[in-house]
Amino acid sequence: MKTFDLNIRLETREKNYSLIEISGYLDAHTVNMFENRMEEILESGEQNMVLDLLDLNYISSAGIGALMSLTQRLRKKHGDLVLLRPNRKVYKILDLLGFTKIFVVALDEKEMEDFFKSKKQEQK
Amino acid sequence: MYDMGDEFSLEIHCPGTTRILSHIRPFICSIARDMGFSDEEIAQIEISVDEACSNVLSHAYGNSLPGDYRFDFQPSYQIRIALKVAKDHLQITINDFGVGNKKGPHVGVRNLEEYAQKGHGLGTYIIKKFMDKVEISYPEDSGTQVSMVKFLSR
Repeated sequence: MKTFDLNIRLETREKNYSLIEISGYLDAHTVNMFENRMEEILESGEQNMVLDLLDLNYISSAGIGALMSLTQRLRKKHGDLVLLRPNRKVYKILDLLGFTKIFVVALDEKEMEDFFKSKKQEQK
Repeated sequence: MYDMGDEFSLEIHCPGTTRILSHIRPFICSIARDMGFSDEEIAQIEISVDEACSNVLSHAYGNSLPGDYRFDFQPSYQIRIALKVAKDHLQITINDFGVGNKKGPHVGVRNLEEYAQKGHGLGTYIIKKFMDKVEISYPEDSGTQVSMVKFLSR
């Protein structure tokens, strides 16, 4: 069976963060692939990461756990993870569980840019 | 939408692999939608069923640690999903035919702070938060069994 469960595309590293598009679903089946790909990006020394979740249709506890682990690792390096444009369903699940208070969620690119600007100023 | 008098049960047997989760989710959602659950309730049922299946799979056929889904699929691995559609609630029972977790009960975390420290237990926390009734048991003949109920709020 052909599967296109999870697609991950590293969009850009031109700014002070990596922008990664995630599409499909992040569950117990796809989480290992996701973690392996994120590990490669982390190993390249990345401090800030942005996951564009516009086309992520579903997330389970396995996916949330992977995002949590990624967030903790980036914050240890004084960086951060931004979840950009989660769709309504994914946002609702994160919000009902209280994760919108733990993760940095940006509903659009301006919010994301503003977050990094204010973070940069705090670090000065 | 079903008539108020419509009640029925159905049971499906699935390969015991995480690959099947993406097929189970839309199936459960379509039943819940037809019953008249709201979009938010459907999303809650969807993730609860996913978590229960994942939990059962990881305990029955995984590396015995909660949330560890790595295992080599064998054709004998199966999970059973039984649905009872009633006029005011949906009951879903999931069990495996594997060894199950005989070491002790599934213990979910109580809050996100505890989850952040422990790094596991979120799946059970989600099920208990989103479903109205949850029962986890270990029948002699069928590994782990998760039974849960969601009532229609209308």
